[in-house]
This record gives sequence, C-alpha cells and structure tokens, in this order.
Amino acid sequence: VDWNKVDVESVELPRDEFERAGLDKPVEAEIEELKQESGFASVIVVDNLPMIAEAKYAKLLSVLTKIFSQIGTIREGGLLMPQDDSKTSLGFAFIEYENEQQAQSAVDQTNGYQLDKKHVFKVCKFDDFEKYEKVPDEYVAPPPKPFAKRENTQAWMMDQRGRDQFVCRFGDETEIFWNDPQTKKGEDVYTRTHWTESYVQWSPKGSFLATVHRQGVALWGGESFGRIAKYAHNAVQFIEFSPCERFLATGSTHEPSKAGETTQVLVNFFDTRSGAKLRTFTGPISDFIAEGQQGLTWPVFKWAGQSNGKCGAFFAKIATGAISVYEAPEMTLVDKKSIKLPGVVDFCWSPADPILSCFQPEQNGGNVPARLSLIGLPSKQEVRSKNLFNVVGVNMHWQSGGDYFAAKILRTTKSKKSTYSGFELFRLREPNCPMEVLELPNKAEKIVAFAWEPKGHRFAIIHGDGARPDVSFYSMKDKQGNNNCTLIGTIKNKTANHLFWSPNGRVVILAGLKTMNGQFEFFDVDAMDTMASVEHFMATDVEWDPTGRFVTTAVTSVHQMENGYHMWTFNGKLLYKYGKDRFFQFLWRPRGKSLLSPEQEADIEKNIKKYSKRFEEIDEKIRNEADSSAASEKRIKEEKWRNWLESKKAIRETQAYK
Amino acid sequence: AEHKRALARKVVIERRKEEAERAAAEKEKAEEAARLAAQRKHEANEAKRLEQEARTREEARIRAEMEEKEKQEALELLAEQAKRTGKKMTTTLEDGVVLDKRAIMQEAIQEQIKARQEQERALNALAKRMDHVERAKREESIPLIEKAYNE
Amino acid sequence: MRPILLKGHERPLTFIRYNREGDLLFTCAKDHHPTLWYGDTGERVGTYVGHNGAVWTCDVSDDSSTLLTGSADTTAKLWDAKTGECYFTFTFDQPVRAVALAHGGKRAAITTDPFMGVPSAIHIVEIDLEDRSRQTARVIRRIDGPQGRVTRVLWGPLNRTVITGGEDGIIRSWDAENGEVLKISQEHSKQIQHLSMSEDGSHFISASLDKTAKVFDSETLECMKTYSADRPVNAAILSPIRDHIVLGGGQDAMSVTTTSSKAGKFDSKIYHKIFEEEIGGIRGHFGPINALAFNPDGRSFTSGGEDGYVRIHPLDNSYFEIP
Repeated sequence: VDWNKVDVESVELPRDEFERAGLDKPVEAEIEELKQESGFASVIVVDNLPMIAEAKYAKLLSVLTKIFSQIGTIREGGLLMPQDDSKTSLGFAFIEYENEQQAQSAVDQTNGYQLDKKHVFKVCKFDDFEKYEKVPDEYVAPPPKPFAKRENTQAWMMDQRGRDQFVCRFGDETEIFWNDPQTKKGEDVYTRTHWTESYVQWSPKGSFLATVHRQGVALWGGESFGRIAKYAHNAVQFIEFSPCERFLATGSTHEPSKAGETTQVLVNFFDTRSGAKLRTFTGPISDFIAEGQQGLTWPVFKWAGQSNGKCGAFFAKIATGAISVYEAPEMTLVDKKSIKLPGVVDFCWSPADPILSCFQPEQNGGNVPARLSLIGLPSKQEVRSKNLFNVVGVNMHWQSGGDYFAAKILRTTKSKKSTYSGFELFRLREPNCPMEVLELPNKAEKIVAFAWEPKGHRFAIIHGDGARPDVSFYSMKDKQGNNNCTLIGTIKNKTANHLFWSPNGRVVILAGLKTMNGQFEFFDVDAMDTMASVEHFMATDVEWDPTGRFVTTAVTSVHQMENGYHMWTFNGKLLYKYGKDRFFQFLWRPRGKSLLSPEQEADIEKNIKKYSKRFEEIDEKIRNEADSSAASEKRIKEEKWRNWLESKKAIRETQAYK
Repeated sequence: AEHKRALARKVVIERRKEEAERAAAEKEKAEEAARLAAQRKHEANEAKRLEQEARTREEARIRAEMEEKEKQEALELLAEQAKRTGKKMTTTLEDGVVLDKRAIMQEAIQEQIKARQEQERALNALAKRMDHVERAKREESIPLIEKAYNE
Repeated sequence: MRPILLKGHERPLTFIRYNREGDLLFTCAKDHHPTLWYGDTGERVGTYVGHNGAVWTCDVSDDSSTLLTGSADTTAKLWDAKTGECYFTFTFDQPVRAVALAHGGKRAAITTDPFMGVPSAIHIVEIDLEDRSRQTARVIRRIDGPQGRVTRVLWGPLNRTVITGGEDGIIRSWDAENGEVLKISQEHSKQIQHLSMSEDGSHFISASLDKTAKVFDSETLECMKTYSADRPVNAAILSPIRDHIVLGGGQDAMSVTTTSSKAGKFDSKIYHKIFEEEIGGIRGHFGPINALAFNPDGRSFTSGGEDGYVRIHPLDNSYFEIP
C-alpha cells in the first residue's frame, strides 16, 4: 500500500465508539483492558497434566490434540507443552485456537475434565492466568470505599400523581418522559445523546433500562438514570431478561470466517445484580434451532412464566428432537437431560406457570401423527396432549394469566387442495385440563389475528379473506358462567388486521396497520359497542400503557413521513401529538406487581370517592396553573410585539420615502 | 220590351239563384270546415286529457310507491329504534295513519345523539374511575416501596 | 365558504400578486402566459402573451396601470396591464428569477440566475410610469449576488435597501445605492422560497424548504418569529388586517412516497403571527402549494399549486370569530 496515495481522513473510522455510546470513563478504561487481552484471547492454559518423560511426550501430545481439536480448530503449531532441561514435561500446556469463542468453549467444556484418576484438567484462558498471576500472594485489604447507598430503582413508581413513564428513541437521542394527561404533553425526565448503539429495552418490571453496545449491555436506572451494571459481550445482538429481572441473557451470532463452516451462536447468562457471568452456551447454529428451521429466532432461550414472585426460574431452548430445560440460578439442565420430543418445531411457556406447550408435526411420512402437548416442570409430566391429523401449521397462544391455552391449527382437506382452520382450547385451571375444539362458521376463512383478553375469559378473532374482514368475540364461559366456549358476537366489515387488548381487558383496539394505512377502532367488548373510530395515517405501532388508561399509536422510521406518536385515552380521545423525524422506538415503562394485598386493593376501590375528590382538586389546580401560565406568556408576547411595532412606526414617521 | 224585361228578370233571377246557390255552398263549406275544426279540436283535447290522465295516474303511482317506501323505511327506523331502546312496537300500521319519515328520522337522530352523549358520560366516568383507582393504589403503595428499599 | 377554483394555467403556478385595491389578481406559471383575473369573482380577464419561458414572478404598479414580469427566457417585460400589450423588454444574458417595484414605482430590482459561469446578480433599473416612451433599458446599478440563485427580492424601508433570499437559505439586505451587503441573516438552513413584506414595511415573512416560515425585522433582519410546519414551505404571507400568517408548501413529487394527497401536506395552514401557534388549515390542492397572496382587504387569500390550479379562499365569519 502506498500510504501517500491514501486519504486517511476518508478511511478513518467513525468517532470513538465509546464516546458515541456515551459511556463514561470507567468503562473506557475497562475496554482498554479488553483490547490488550485480545492478543492472547484465543489461547488457553491447560494445567494439572501429568509430568512425563520424553518417551511419553508424543503420546500425551496426541491425546491432548484429540481432546482439544474436538472443540475447535487448533492453530498450526498452536499446541505447546513446555519441558524442562531434562526433557520432562512441566505439567501444563498452551493451546491456541482460531478464535476467542472456541477458546472460551474449550475452557467451559474441558475445565474439570478427568484425564485419569490423578489428573483433572484445570483449564483457563491465558489472559485470566496472567491476570491471576499478577495478584499478590498475600491478601491486602482494599482501602475502605465510602459507603454509597444505591439509588432506589423503584423511585419512579412513587410519582405523586401516579403517572407513567415511556422512552422514545429518535435520531441520536434517547429520551424518557412522563405522560402527563393534565398538561397534555410528555414531560421530560431524562435525555441522552448516543445513549445506545442499537436499541433500548426496559426490564420486565421497569427497574432498568438496557442499552446495547458493541462491547456489551449496560443497565441504567434510579432517579439519575446512572449506570447500574454492565455486561461484556462482544457484538451482542439480542437481550432477554428473566421475568423476575434477576437474570439477563445476551446473544449473538457470528458469521464463519471461512466458507463451509457454520454460523456460531453465543449466549451468555448474567446475574443482573452482581454482574457475574453465570453460564455461556456456544456452538454451531444447529444446536440452537429446531430441525429444518432456517436461521435463528430470538429469544433462543425462553424464560418460564412466574406468578409466585420467586426468583428461581426455568428457561428452555429447542434442539433437534428435544427441548432442553435449564434451571436458574444453578444454570443446569433439569434432570441432566433434555426432554425428547422427536421433530419438535416450536414451544411456548405459560406466562404464569412452569408449563411448556410444544408442537411436533407429523413424523415418518404421516405414520406418526402431529402432536400438541403441555408439559409441566420440573416433573416433566404431560399435563395434556392431543394427536392431530393433516396439520400444516400451528400457532400457540397463552392467556396472560396462564388460565387458558389456544392453538390455531391449519389443516389440509382430504384432497390436500385447500386448507381450513380450527382452534384447540385448553382450560388449565380445571382438573385434567379439559379441551374443546372451536371452528368458525366458515372454517375455510383465513384467520387474520387471534388475541386473548388479558386477565379475562374472552378472546377475539379477525377472520375473512377480503379487504374488510369480520371480528368475532368468544368467551370461555357461557351466560350462566359454565365452562362452554360461547360466541358473544360478530361485527362485520372492519378495517382491521391487528388486535390490541387493553392490559386491563374489556377494551380492544381493532387496528388496520400497513396496507390499511392506520385505521383504529376502540371497541368496548362489555357493551359490544364502538367507542371511537380514529385514524393515525400510516401508523406502524400500537402500545398500551401498563395500566390500560392510555395508548399510543406511532409512525416509526420505516416510513419517511410523519414520524412520531399520538397519545390517546383508552376510549379513543386524542390527548396530544408528538412529531420527530427518524423516530425509532416507543416503549412504555413496565411496572412490577403492586405491593398491596388484595384486601388493601379492595378497600381502596370501596373508598374511591374519598380519593377521587382530592385527585380532582389536584388535577383542576394543575390545569388552571397551566392555563394561566400560558395566558400570561401570551400576554407578554403580545405586549412585546406591539411595543416593537410602535417603535418601528415612530422611526418611519420621522423619515420620508425617497 | 216586355220580352226584354222578362228576359232581364229571368237573368236576374237566374243570377240570384246562382248567387243563393253559391252562398249556400259557401255556407255549407264553412260549416263543414268549422265542424272539422271543432272535431280536430275535440280530438286534440281528448288526447291531451288522456295524456294528462295517464300522467296523473303515473304520478299517483310513484307517489304511492314512495309513500310505501317511506312507510317501509319509517317502519324499519321504528324497528331499529325499538331494537335499540328495547321497547316493543307495533309492526302493522292502521289504515289512514300517515308516518312522517322525516319526523321519525329526526327522532332517531335525536335519540342517537342522546345515546352518544350518554355513552360519552359513562366513558368519562369510567376513565375517571380507572385513573383514580390506579392513582389511589399507587399512592398507598408508596410507603411500601420506601420500606422495601430501606431494608 | 367555498373556494373559487380558477382554471387557466396548464403548468405549475409560480407566483401570485394582487393589485393595491385587490380587484385584480395576476398569476404566473411555468406556462409562458401570465394571466389576469378579477380578484373577487375569479373571472378570467386575459393573458399577457410575449414570454418564451416559464414566468417566475411579477409585480404591479400602485396605480394598476403597469405590470412587470420576469421569465426564464432571460427577459423582464413591462406590460400595459389593461390592454395586455408589452411595451418594453429588458433583456439579460441569464434567466430572470425575481422582480420587485420600489415604493412609488420609480425603480425596479430584477435578479438573474447564475448561468454559464456568470454569478447571480441584482439589477436596479429605472421605471418611467409617467411617459412610457422615455423608458430605457439602462441598469443604474448591477450588484453581484452571492453563490447560487437569488430566489426572491423585496425593497426595504424607504427604498434604501433591497432584501434578497437565496438558494443558500441566507437573507441579505443590500444598500440600493452602492450595492454593499448591510445585513446577513442565516436563520434558515435551506433554500428561501418566498419573501413577503408587511403593509407597513416594518417586517417581512420568509418561507423555506427547511420546513419553517419566519418573520424578520426588515431593518435589522433580526428573526422575530418562527412557524414550524411539517412540510417544506414554498410560500408564506401576512394577513393585512389580523395577526395571522398563512403558509403553504408540501413534499415535492419526487419525495412523496405514498399516493395519498394527505400525506403530501398540500393544505394551507394559518398560524397566529405573535404566538406562533397553528390555528387551522384549508385543503384543496392535489400538489404542493407554490404561491400565496392575501387580498389587501384581508378577507380572502389565494393559493397557486403545482397542480396548475389557482384557488381563491374567502375567509368566512367563523374565521373572523377566531380570537
């Protein structure tokens, strides 16, 4: 390369990525360390080897080569086993792999490997070895740190006016707002430029905001939105919190450097509080997907639902012909073996209980029928299962409380020329988990969308083949309250292709997104009546707040024009609009379960009048203040303008036109 | 001379006769023309009358049809109204009772407006209640969150 | 009230101008024929035939006798407004972009586009309204303009300055006598599309592709007000009787990704001049609005669109009830 001919300016990389990430100094220092490591990052040290004489040297070398080349490709001349002057080996070896991931998996898989009775491998990364070597032999107590109380990550839940927060990402900005229905605007809470390098995500109870960077993931929270923790994971792409927020999975895929090799997947599990890496899963993509599946779908590991509030958790991933269920915090395979399910292609957890729903399509060219099963953990006992015939595809839907499970089954007719749909409905709270089949009056119709009412017994289906499909509502209970799936009603010719239930149930938004240009009907299912029909032209997203009081529709940057969001009340009244070019993300901050007991809650509902009076006074005062401050601001503006105009008049009158 | 006079008289008489004949013929002709004219006029009047009658009949038919349609629509409106309000109504109309569609429609519109307002009121009350219950719960849980934090 | 639709131009409108009384309306378009209409009924009176290129702009004398037009055919023409006869032609070597008659009508500023390596320029010429036979082509001052086009020109207070807006988004005021730049304002980040002076000459409004319109002090060029629109703004005007402004524009055909005319934002928007708040909008055009003008009586305004239509919008009582 003739460097004189190269315009260095033009090839220079973007500004320092840490600066762009907006991370502060301490991180930068740590990244420096990481960089230094990288030279030996793919080298491991294997200790506790037998010390052997020259005669046996070649034999041991070949044994080691055999063991360690199973895990990855050892570089040429990458296996070194030092000897002393008498040609006796020193009991350890260095192995250099092609990349850091291979080295890491070698450490994970061979540390503790029993070579023979006396010799158990002690394997670590070369860098770690170096690090530990630097540690002085004698323990020196660190200077006492000034006691700094951690900020309360729940502080935002204590807003005096009971408002909710949301985060927006637009351009290079990430901004957190209060939704303020009284002043009809989003009130600023915190803004930061270049806060994240790809996206942001709230933890399931809203305690943390996760930002995603090339080096890993950072969590932020508390009133100051300071950094609470960070987790190194190079080129991280996906993140997934456990429902209790205690664990965080980070994932990435790595394209092979050589042709003919497969894509590698790396998933790390961290303890969110301590930041400790609990376990790493790594390997070729085929270990993380179902047989015949193309590409990776995140989340690879799905967390089991939890209604008991405990912090242990099951998580599972699909594999060829099996589902592997692990248990946190031990991070070990339940029963030390996977659940064998030949051909399994999809699974879902109940959002409330450790129950898995799995689907296995037909096997052996139709000799073994397709099978839908619900499996309880940790017993691995089948709660219920059903064999199905002529199945083309299955979609699984759990009700939010885990009370019901529905599977939409698409089957072919006997002639195999056409398809039709039906539903299998399971009642999880009844003994023996009874099952029902539901077919629409015209079962050849296309099912556009299906959604359970959260915390309820009802569900809605959009069905029809035309541009204006019908929407039907069913209840799992009949009018007498018995367990019979009953049609509540059908409304015809709706401009809708998506369903968005309020998290409180009762209200559902029939949304016409994409080809339907952003039509919304706010529907009250109790009254079976439309509350409002509105339009947000080209809207791409709908997000309910965690309480079902407000809902936003947004146009994100998939469209060029009219980016921003509209804030609506639950009954379809526009509160305010917010426009920003390059609008990427809108996320309400989720809330954990209330700490009040059911009795306390009932008590509040009973005495709501007492509260209502006070709240109305507060709101009235805020509205009046906002009005009067706006009015006085206007007065000042007007006065200033009039004075200016008058001063210009005076000047003009003293001078004659030419 | 007498003969001449007689001849002259004969000529005169002859002429008068001719004159009278001509006059009679003329009169007859005129009468015939008048009769024909009258007949034509009568025919024209008749045709006009027939046409008029036909038109009236047609108009009456259309009016009847429209009335019937209005009646049907009015009945439908009433039925709808009844369905909405849950009230019972007679589906048959007594003869001679004229339904004013416009009035019914007006009534229906008024009713709809009223229903909308009613719905609006109910929804506003619901919105307020939802908001206040949520806020009250949050307010009451503030000390619990504080306590949890301090522990 | 219903707008009055004026059909006469076959190409996109470029400029609209009322005479002082508001009974006559002059429109310019990319077709070559400026057109005269009755300001109240929208009835067409006639066309001015003589230009061989798009007509970008025009101005009319206070007595409504004389019309000055500027065209891409590199000429500016003086017309007898009543007969439609062109009685004088200024010929330049570059396309004419903007013209403006001085207060009193004795002078005119004519701007030309940069062309074949010659930069933009402002030409000050003398106009003889009294005796047309004495009209000459003499340019009493030629001011070299900035890089890029000068898109609009206005005469400043007391005819001492000319104010220009340019492709560079910069507004400049120039000494009309010696051609020096007196003031510069860089408030706009994109091309200035339109400038329009207030009745009393104390301030003017600008329209820019940066999706804003702004009000400036015409002496100091200090920015006093900003109106944010959600579309590129092609024209902005000041109400002569109320503290309101009207702006119009829209996404140009190239960048409209959807077919809906709603997405293109082709409506005219009314804002409160002092509070900078949007008051309302009037729809109608199928393409961007290129030109706007207020009737001097303040009771109607006219818009001209890329769609080739001119619409007179009478403002009804409900408008005048707005506080």
